[in-house]
Amino acid sequence: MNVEVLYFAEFKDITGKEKEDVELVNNSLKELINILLSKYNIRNLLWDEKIQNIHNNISLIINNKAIHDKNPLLIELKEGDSIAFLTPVSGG
Amino acid sequence: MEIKSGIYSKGEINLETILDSLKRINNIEKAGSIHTFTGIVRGSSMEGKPVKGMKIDAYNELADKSITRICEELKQKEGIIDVIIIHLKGEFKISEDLVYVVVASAHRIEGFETIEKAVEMYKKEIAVWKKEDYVDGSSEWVH
Repeated sequence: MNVEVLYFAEFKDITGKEKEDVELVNNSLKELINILLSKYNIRNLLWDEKIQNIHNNISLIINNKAIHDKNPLLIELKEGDSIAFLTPVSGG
Repeated sequence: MEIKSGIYSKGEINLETILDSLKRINNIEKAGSIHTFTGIVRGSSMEGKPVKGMKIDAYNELADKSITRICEELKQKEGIIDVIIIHLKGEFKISEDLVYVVVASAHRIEGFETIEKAVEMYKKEIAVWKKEDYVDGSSEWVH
């Protein structure tokens, strides 16, 4: 199953991409995060070692909607879902 | 053509175009004032570090939704005829325009109040990020 990951700001700089398709086997957000953490140097930006989860200041967006699940790692993804991890905004 | 609030690329739109469009809307005769705010690139960071330019990135679909929601909410207030928020994205030099907020109101008091609210709301609520490029060659995403 493939999902699309969108990158903005620091994530775009580090990955060098605006978006990419990622293939998942277990269809979970946890699997997607593990793949991204092993592929890119984004651990400090995305992952909080203390809570073993996404940093509290990162907003999770799926299909253009903000997700506020208590434990986002348990989220099941669907074919074609579009996922973005956003750092705090800073309008000009 | 009526200008829609949202994210635009640098060079796609300017304040004159927005004002021109606003003057053509159906109920503009109810307005007694037009208030404008233009956010531009400052030559120093909040910490005083000399800045030579800025990059703006945006999540268009999400930012457009938030901008529309802010404008619709503010337009509910009595005396507010129209609210337009345009945020530009791309690469900018010092003093170039980044954001336009335009409010048409029946009277100046509600116009001044609303433009201040609109600026505070877009700063906190829309999916836009800025990266400052410093004179010393370094750069940083500002949060």
